[in-house]
Amino acid sequence: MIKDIEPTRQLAPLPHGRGWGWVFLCLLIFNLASCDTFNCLLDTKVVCQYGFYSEGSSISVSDTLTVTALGIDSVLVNRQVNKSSVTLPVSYYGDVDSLEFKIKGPDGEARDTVYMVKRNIGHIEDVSCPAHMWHTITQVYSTHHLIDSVYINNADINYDTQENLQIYFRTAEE
Amino acid sequence: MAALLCWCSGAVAQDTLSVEVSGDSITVTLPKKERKPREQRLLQGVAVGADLVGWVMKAAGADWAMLEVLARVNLKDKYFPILELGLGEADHSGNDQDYQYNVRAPYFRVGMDYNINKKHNGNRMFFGLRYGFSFFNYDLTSPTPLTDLVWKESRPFDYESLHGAAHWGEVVFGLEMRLWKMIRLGWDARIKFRFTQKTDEVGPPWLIPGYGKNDTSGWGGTFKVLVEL
Repeated sequence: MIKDIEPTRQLAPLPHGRGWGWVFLCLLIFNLASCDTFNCLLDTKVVCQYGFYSEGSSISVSDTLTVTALGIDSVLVNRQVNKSSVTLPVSYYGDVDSLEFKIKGPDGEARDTVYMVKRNIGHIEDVSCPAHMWHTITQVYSTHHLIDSVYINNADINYDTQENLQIYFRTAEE
Repeated sequence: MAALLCWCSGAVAQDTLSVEVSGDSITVTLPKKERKPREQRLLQGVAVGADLVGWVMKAAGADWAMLEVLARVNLKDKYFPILELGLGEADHSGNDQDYQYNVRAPYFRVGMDYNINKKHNGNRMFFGLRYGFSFFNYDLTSPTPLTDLVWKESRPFDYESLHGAAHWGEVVFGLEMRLWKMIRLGWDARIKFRFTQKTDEVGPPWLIPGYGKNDTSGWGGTFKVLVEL
């Protein structure tokens, strides 16, 4: 025996022209009440990368390397060996960073100071993210006991991890 | 002696010139120019109005609002060239309250709506396009200084009057009805696409006046009251 199936009860349609107005208002309120969802960058180190070179090619400094920030006497790199590059912090507000590179080997030690002239500016991705200082290198020079010259490879010190400065060491014959 | 001179038949006197001589006086009656009915005219009205959403948000204490007015022309009850201008305001803090974004600048939008309602009964359904732009100054500040832990120095993070600019487009869908005599009420929803923006290197603006929260695209809407003459 087949029973008559009672038709399912349907919702009354929205009043013509009115319902969509309410839908729109609800969506608008939902939009205004929604939270910010900005994703802050995770890797936001701002450091200056120094590469070591001699006669046009990259080298490793086999002797012990120590880098000190002059003025605050803070050791930034302590007795590292076999380094072909170093990443060093940059002062937030100083116009010139003076860094002493000390290289100590079996035959003694030598020191050179690298001066980096720069422009500093704050940077923030979003008001919900932490702020950092970015820098633009305008000039670089050094003493010349071991260092022959210093070149600016990338003047902008920011979240990009590129080599900023290239330090060319003097060759044994010089 | 009275005489009546008529260049055309009196039956069509409305669109003819008639001269009547009575004694010493001559009366010239210029033909009446018949005015087209409203629905046949090109220019069928001018409207001014305001978006209520921004004012409600400001009154409710929201941290941003767009205070907007508009002027619109009705051509054949089908094409509606429109100018929207407003003042975008924001006084917004980040989630951790460390950094603050402030802006207060004008914005402009021009475009046209197309009424797809074939019945000219006062109710309209629109599709439209807008081009918007804003040139503005904004502040990015912090109540706490930014500290250099290595060189041990703190200074305030305080960057004011940074220059910004943005250009964008909007696709609009809306409904509008006659509320009472010349008063009309309408709403619309909009999808927005940012074409270009110019920001300061300190950081991008959190909100673009007239566009909304700064992203490559977004959506918004208006709820507006208009007076149509």
